[in-house]
Amino acid sequence: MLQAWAADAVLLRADHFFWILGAPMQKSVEGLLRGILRSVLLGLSQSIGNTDAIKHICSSRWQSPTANGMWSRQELKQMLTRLSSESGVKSFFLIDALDECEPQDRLNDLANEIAWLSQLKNVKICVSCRPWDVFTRKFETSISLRLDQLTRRDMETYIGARLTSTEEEKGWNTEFCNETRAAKQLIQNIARSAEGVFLWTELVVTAMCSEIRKGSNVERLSQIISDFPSDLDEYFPSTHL
Amino acid sequence: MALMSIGSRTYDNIRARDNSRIHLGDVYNDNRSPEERALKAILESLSYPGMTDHRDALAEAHERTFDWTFLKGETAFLVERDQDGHEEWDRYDTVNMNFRSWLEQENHGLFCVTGKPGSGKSSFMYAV
Repeated sequence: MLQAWAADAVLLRADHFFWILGAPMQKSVEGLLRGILRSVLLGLSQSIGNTDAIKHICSSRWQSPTANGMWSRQELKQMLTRLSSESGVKSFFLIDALDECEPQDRLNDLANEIAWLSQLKNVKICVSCRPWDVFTRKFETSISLRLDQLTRRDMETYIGARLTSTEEEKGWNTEFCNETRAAKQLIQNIARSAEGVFLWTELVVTAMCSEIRKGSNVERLSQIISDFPSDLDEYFPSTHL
Repeated sequence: MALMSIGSRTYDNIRARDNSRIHLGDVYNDNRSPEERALKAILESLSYPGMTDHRDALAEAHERTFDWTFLKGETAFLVERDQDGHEEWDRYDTVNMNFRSWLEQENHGLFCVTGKPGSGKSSFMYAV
């Protein structure tokens, strides 16, 4: 698919997965730029088979890579610019979990750099992040996908299967087995309330299964949804999912 | 020790007394051209510890739990297998079309996937 976009050009790819538990460099803007520059240079050297293009892109570092000390953001961006505009290759960057980049109070800095990367010639970027203003406002004009909408039907299928099999196990209630209106509504309600969060669904469904085993009816089960915190950040304040 | 060899190379001017050891480690690297060495040095200077930590962790999680499959060049982007192993092709048509047309077309540089914590963002990204 990407090759269709690249047509006859060499297609390079770089991935970066920000991780809140990762090394400091890994979850920084500089770490991101270093990682993707390294990946595309490596890809370029492998696909072209000679180093002329890279020598040109990295001319300031070619003679002595460590002479200029640490890579500065400016230098990294300069090389990425040269790579995208002068080497004739097309690049795809996949950048996961923007919200896990640090420092957390300067995520707008990252959002700006992503926007900068995305306007480079011959570059496409796919990013993922929590729906936070700092990102959604900046990326307003980009094409986006909300995963919770995508997975709702999967959730319903899963929830229905779990509740039905628990009923069957006990054999004294048949709301889910018979797919009554109330049962269907409950399933849809859980899936909607989950907002795409699999762990939330799992916790709620597990609680419901134990209620079913106690003989509770659908009305009682509905109560469980409102009893649960809607956000796992409240449920597990210190985890990073 | 009057003579040491590594592979087909012989170093007859190296001497060591008694039980001394001589490390000839990276001598074979001399085979590489100055360009290759410069490239390797640049790649190394860009590397840092932990660069791919999370990707490696995701690879493990992906293998265990995730059932979305990325098919290159096929009509469906994401497919799901049911319990009997049959693939369902049409359920992700919307994402398929959006994502595919973005991948294939020229005009937009950025595609943004959003979701709450735990909604499968990283798994989705890993599957791409």
